[in-house]
Amino acid sequence: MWRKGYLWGFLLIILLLLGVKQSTIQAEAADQRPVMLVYDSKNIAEHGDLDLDCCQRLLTSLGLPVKTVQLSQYHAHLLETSHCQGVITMVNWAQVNSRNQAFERDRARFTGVKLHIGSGLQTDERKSLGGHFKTLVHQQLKVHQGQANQLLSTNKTLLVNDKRAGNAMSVGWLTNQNMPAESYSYGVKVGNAGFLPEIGTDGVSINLAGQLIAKLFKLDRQPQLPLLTITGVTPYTKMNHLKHLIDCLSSQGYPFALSIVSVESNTDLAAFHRYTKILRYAEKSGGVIFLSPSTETGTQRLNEAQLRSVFQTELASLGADRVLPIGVSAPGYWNRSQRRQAAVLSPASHVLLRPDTHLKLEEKPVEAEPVVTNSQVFPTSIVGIPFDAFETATYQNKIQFFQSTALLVKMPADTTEINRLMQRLQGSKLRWFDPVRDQLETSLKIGTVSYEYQAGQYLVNHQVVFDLDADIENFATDAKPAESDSWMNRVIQWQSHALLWLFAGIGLVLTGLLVLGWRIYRRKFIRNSGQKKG
Amino acid sequence: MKKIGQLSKFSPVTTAVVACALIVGWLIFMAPIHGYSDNGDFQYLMATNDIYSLHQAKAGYVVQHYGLMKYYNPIHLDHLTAQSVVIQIAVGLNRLFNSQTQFDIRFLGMVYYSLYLGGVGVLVKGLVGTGRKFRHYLMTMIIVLFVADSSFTLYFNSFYPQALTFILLLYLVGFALLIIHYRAENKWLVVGFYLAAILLLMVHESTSLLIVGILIMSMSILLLPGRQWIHGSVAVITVALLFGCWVSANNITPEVRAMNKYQAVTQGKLLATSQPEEIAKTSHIDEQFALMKGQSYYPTAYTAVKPDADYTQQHFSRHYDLSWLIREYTAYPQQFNLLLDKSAKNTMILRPKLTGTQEKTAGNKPFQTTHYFSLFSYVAGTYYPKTYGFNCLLAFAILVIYGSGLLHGLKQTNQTVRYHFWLVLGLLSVVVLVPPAVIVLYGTANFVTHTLPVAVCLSLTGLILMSDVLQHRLWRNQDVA
Repeated sequence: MWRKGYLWGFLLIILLLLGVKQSTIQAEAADQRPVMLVYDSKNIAEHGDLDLDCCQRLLTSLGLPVKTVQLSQYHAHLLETSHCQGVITMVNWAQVNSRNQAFERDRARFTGVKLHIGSGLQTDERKSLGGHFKTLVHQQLKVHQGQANQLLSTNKTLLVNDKRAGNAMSVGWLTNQNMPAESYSYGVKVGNAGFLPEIGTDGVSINLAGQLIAKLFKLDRQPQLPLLTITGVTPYTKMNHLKHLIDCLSSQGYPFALSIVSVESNTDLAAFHRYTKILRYAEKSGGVIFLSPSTETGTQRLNEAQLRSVFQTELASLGADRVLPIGVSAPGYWNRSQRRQAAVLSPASHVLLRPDTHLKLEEKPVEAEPVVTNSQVFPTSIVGIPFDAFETATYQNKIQFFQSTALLVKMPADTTEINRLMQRLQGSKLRWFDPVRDQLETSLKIGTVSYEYQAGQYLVNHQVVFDLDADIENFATDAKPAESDSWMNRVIQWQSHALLWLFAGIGLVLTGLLVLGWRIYRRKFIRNSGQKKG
Repeated sequence: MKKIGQLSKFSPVTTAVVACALIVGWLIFMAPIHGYSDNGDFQYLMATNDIYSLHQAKAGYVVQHYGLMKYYNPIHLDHLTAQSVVIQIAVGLNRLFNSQTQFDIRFLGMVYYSLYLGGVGVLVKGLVGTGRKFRHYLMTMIIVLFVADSSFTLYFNSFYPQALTFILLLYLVGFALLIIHYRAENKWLVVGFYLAAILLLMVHESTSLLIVGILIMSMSILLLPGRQWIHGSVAVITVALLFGCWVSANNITPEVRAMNKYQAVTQGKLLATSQPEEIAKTSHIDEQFALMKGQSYYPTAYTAVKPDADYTQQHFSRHYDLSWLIREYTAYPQQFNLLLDKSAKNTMILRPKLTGTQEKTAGNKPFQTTHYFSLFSYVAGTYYPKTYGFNCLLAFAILVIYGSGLLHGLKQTNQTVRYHFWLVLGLLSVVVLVPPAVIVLYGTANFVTHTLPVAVCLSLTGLILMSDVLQHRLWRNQDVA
């Protein structure tokens, strides 16, 4: 009897152990499974495409790969618990009320994390979230995260959780401007299910979304400091303004990053070396540099190999002038396209994802986005949120960032704008991420070259660069290699010149003859007429 | 030899037209068709003519079928040029005989083709006359080698303006020659000449530069004896031509104007110097814009700052104008010479860059070009000297030859050569004066479009000279056709 109990106990322990092992393996494997983001419409007229992009970048910055598909393109069994760790239903255009039976069936069966963003909650979703929902129309709402709060800039129709269920957890809350006593939950989490009224464009609401997602996916995230990033720095930026800005930032002790673009050609010109000189100055003043791929234009797009080669050329020409980017910065759509990811983003350990530019209704995109897009994760992905998105927030220093965040500031156009920016920075009292103090370690490896950054120290091919300015004269006055003429070209060149001289000679002789002939002719003509007259 | 020639049933004109019809017809009508593919210039022109691409065409392939708009088109004929007229005729024929919804590019090819054959007939008649001796047939053969060259005829199956420029130049010179030869008054020839001249000015904004040549050629006609009725109208005709030139030069969209202005500097001034930063010394442009050296207004795929972005407009394009550019070039003549030589290098390259000539078929790579009937363009592109100075000297030498004829002709009863002088002077003025104007106005961008008239005028001068030599008009005054 006692032995039997012992045996059962032993079996139980083994089973438990196996179960635990199973679950740990699953937990490890789960990290690699993507989150499926299903949206009803991009709703370009109301900037829904930007909300979608923001959601994708937010997920990426939390280390979650995203698989995005439009509701109408969804086909049965795309969503399986074994393939996805979560599903996010995003409703951008509630008025249309798009439905897809296959998706709803698969979602009901799905056992992973389920998050709903926007209105249009289905019955099963309502049931799992519990509580009571209420639609707010045209109300001035304030969103709160701890002490920090911000007025929502859009007053569109919002579905909010009015009375939450007993087991529900609230992430942030909303208050009404007119009736401060009333408050609603912002993000709601009930077990595996979650709800968000919107992603929005306001800093605090984006942060709350990040916080809720981190909680839902059980990511152990501590609040992080944001990275101050100046975007839109180009070789055509006024260099004295850029230098002034760097001076202001470093004298006030703000660590910062620059998101720069470079040029592929003309890197032998003095103008390029002037640009790199300022960038080196930024590096020495405590700034780090993210290289951004240039703007895509025209009707043709580069393929992966061409893109990689252009990017490699840009990196090499910057590296030759000791401008050593620590990572790559790109608009969100670069992480939705396979070849852009592979060519430009993947080589970097730190990828800063900036917001997309707003699509225009009347403009046809040059290349159609695939039906299903996959956003990849990188060792560290940073979501870029415009610093302006926090402008209306109060207690900005109390805002908590659970995702890796960069706050983006557009390169100021003149001195007054620089001064205004400095005032804004001082007013916000935000604490910024410092690459040196916070021990930032990055690497960027493309081709045979690797650039590394370790808390203030730059490494090229694992060799520490002690002085960024050393031997600078050598490459500033780079002698251009003489263009090698082919044998054929030289012959043709010579032939052109020879013929030139030949014809010049013939021309002269002919002119001489012409003058001679004219004289003879004149003499004849005058004598003849003279004879006639005579 | 003479016997063989005289036995021939066909006159040189018929021979030339039939030969061209066969050579060109086979190339442009037989499937898979040949033509030039889009290098980005088609879209606006097609849209104003109610035509659109049916699907995203892969670059470097010729497309045969386009869509025809069925409903209201807000930019219908927004930018009316002589070329639009031809396209509209082709669209009309297509609607009548083919389809209301689909446009077959061969209808455009056919309109050009019939215009072209007429042009060939007029030119051959003007150059060769009606003689049936061996030398006439030899001359005919040389002309066919030039006019049927695929570099020109491939334009027919495309929306490039060069097709019409080429055809109208054939008419222009052909009519001028015919008027000079048949000095008996023929009003229709004169009407034809001026019609061709006005249409030619209207093809593209760059063809308005041909006004110099056209005015001089028009001299040769107005100076003919026994044209008293026309003498009074010299002023009227000249004013009409100048007005046509002005209209054409200003008949461009703001976007094209901005493009020309941008490329005149980035692909002109900046390209000619190794220290482009110096532009900052004489203008308010930031020296960093030197990095735009060589950039086109519509960069292929990838650029640091878009040329049409507000930033570029505000900090770059707004800070210079044509007079500044001319002052810059006069201050640095060396740079201008460099660009002139660059233009000379490209003059005889007749095919547009970044285009293919073939339709997409299995196992066919993009940007492939056909070598069919391209002896003339190959020889001219490879062996013709590539300096601007040579063109000037050649022009001078030819003018000396005809100048002697002019003086000689003062007394002679045969004054053909005397009028040929004006004709050749007109053509050569295009050769000498158009390249500098093109560089100042457009830079080195799109050279093929801008300098094609130069190449055609130069070749036509050569043909006139050759025909005069072969028919012994220059030195022995006999054998007048």
